[in-house]
Amino acid sequence: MEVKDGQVRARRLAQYLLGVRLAFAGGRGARIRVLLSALAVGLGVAVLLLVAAIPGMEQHRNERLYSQYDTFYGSSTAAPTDHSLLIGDASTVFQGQTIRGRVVQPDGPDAPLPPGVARYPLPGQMAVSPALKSLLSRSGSALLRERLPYPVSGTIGQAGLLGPGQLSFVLGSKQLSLSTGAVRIDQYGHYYPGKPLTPELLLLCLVGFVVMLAPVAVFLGAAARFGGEQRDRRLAALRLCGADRRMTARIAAGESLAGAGLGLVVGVLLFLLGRQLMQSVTVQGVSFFAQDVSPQPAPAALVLVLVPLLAVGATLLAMRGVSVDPLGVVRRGGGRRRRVWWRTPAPVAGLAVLLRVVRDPEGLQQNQGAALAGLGTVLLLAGVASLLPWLVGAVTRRAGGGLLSWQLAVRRLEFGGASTGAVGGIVVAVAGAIALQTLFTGVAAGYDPPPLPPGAVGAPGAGYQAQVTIPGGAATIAGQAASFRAGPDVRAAIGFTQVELTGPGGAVADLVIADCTTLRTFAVLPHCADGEFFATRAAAGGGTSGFSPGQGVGFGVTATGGSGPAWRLPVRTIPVSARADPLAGSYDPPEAEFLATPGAVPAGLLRDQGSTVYVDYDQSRPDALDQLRTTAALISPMATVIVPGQVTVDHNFSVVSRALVIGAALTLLLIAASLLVGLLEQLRERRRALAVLHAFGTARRVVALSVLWQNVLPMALGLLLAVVGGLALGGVLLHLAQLPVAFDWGAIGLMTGLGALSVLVVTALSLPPLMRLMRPGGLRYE
Amino acid sequence: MTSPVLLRAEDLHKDYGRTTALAGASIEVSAGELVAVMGPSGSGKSTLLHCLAGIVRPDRGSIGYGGEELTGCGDARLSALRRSDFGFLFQFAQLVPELSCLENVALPLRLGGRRRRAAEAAAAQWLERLEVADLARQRPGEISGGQAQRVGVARALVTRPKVVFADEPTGALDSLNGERVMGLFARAARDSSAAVVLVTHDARVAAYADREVIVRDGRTRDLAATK
Repeated sequence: MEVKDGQVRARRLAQYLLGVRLAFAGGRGARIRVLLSALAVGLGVAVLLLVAAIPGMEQHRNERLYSQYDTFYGSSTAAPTDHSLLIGDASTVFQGQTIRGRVVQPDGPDAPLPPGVARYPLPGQMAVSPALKSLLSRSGSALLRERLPYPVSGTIGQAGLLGPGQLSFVLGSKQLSLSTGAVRIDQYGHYYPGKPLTPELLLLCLVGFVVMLAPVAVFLGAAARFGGEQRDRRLAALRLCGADRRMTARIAAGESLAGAGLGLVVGVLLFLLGRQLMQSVTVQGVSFFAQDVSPQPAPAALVLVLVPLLAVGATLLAMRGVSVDPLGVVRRGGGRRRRVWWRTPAPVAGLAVLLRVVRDPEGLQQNQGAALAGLGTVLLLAGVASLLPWLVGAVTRRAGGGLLSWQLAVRRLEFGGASTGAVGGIVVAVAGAIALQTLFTGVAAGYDPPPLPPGAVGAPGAGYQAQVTIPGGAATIAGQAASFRAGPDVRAAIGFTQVELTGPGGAVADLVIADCTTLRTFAVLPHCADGEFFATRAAAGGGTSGFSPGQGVGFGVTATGGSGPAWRLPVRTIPVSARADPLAGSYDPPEAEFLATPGAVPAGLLRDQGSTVYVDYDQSRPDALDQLRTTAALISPMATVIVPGQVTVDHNFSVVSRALVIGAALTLLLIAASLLVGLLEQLRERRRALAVLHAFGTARRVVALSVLWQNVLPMALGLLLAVVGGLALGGVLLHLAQLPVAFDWGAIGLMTGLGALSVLVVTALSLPPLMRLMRPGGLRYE
Repeated sequence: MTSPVLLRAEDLHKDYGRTTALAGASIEVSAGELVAVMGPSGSGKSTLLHCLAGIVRPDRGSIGYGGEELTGCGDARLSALRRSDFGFLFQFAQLVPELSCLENVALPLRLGGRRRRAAEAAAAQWLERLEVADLARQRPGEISGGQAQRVGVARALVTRPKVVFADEPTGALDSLNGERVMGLFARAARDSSAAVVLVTHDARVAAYADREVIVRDGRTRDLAATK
């Protein structure tokens, strides 16, 4: 019995192998088919391997992120030890790109090294990431070189970077102190439980992958159909030699396995190539190291097994419309009426599933909710695409009249036309892209800054647009403001130190310390000289209870939120009138209940206070903000520049938006390639009929036009379905992400236009072979 | 001594839509006998051949082969019969263009489970008998119609079938080539003791037959033995 089983297995294996042999031996057509299948399977494998790598990428990125945590949890009171260091945040932004910066000062020889750094940079020297090194060396980075003028003494390795594109530096210092914004740590890295993806990002990913895979499936289908007539004839000959239907199916499966096997190799190569390329691509400031893009073993194994099987399934599915008999092939599909009843449940069910998830958006964070959202998306997209053949059938049945070219096209379409399947893919891709774009527009709108209050910093008409905070710079505040004023696009800059005074009973009041000129911005001073101290009438008149001349107060606030060192308000306090809106509506102005010239405050107290500079600059100049940041960084690497209302994410979002359009265009390109493959195949199969038409005297123009109509009609209907389906899906997804429903009609028009353009291009490309096939030589029987 | 009846069809009916192809055709074929089925175009002779071979299922009637009723057999059984007991020869040799001539002839044996080397050794012998041994490594696209038909004869006979069904085997060949192929085919079939059902409208081809059956309007008429 076992011997018999073994024989059966060997016989089956021989049948599969015969299929493989036929696939490679079948001449040019068969080889093209194998290559197309391999490319389609390869693309599918590469995309799915990438999907399988995402959890790992996320995990690696999180691990890298956790290992970098430092300033967030440092202590501003801890005592130094041999294994501790002082660290300050010196991050900055250059040309819209965030640069992570740290200033470090080890307390002892055992201080832990920053991740990825082999040794501490000496004071005044820095270690930089390769991406920052490259950015620093670019010709347009003069301002950055000016901002980071420190000699580069080392490189930050992979261990200290989130990705290859991360811009990062570690600057050595000997001037850091706890009082000037640095913190003390004795280790790097801190674990925080990972945050799940936000629902909108999760949805973007889900729809993105469905949309990415749809054209691959369509391409696979087109590849499976390519050379179909030859294959059918071959299989018929095998049937004549005694192959039964199962054997024939095994041989056919073997044929497609050849393409699928080659596709696996292509896919793995594409994936490896892609992940190398990913190293050099940074989107939204996010990049990945190639080795972090490693698929999880189990899903990867599943991909490597399932995709070839799916390819075989696609081939067998493509054969479902034909019955391979020993006498040849009988097409069963021709002219059948397409029913709508079985096509409607899928999109309706998809919509229902999505609406169910809409009612419980929190469930999206759980696997079940995400799976339901994915299922609903797939059902809706695939369901909408499945409506297309019915719609095309319904239209062609009613549109038989008119021009001869139109009539030829419509009759051909009634028999299923090669383009309908590929256009189905366009429906999925365009609908998905529209949904993605819609969801993305909503998400982007969520990130838009709220409208600025009139006169706020950065708002038109505000007195000052930028606020620069400099740690520990109070002693030289006048010089700092002057540095900004010396900048090329700066109209005005005022600098002062703002200190929160803590009175008895927890009462607080703001003290502004500056030179007389600056103080006059805040209040009307009858006279002013260094050493004088002023109180606005509100403060002096008891408006600020608990503060009276000679009163003991806490000077400033410690990092832990407690009162600063004790200080006694000067006995000689000059009452003054505060100016209303002293900074002309600028962002976060001090209350300025008390005003002091630097001489009125002990130098020891001032030394540890930071200062604030308000800058009025020409925002229309492209480099003006970078110039400000450079000036600030030169005063202190740890200075921060705030420009409220500045849309820092705008650049990145436009990148994603562009990426979406490019992705949709590539998708359409792939589908257009499928369409072209299908069309050429159909023309080749019909060359005799075409030659006969020509021999009858049919003008080539008429046949060419019929090919155009054959593509235009399904495409127009497909795009109509895609827009309807895409808007519906986009709307539901926005609901799901609890975002206001709004559509980006420009992008929708662009994608629809791209779809239409692809039809014209495909038709144009099919014309030369069409003209060749219509030569009377085509009448010759092989 | 009369040979036993190998294949018997009775009262076969077959319609294609509104067109009647067979309307009560009957035929008997004895072992080793060469029967020519003749008739005008559209008379139903090819449909009769396809029904006898189990390729087309008749609407009505019975086909007995070696005690087995073929009209009740499924695809697997009929395919198995095509592998073991039946051989086919058509107007165009119906060779698999991707395979070499040797592989084409070995194909039925390989589908029947024979190992490649053994199958190709048997195939090579048949190519030699049909005087086309030198074409073994060539593909069908590289040889002439007459040569392809001789390879087709080799493929039809390689399994040593009991019945060979031939549908206009010389229809696409010139008269010289046609006679040459037919001569080789008839001799090889007789040497293998295979019965042959030969559909033709060519009297010169029919001359190779032991007996002629005329088909007209889907009905058969047996003529007296010609030899």
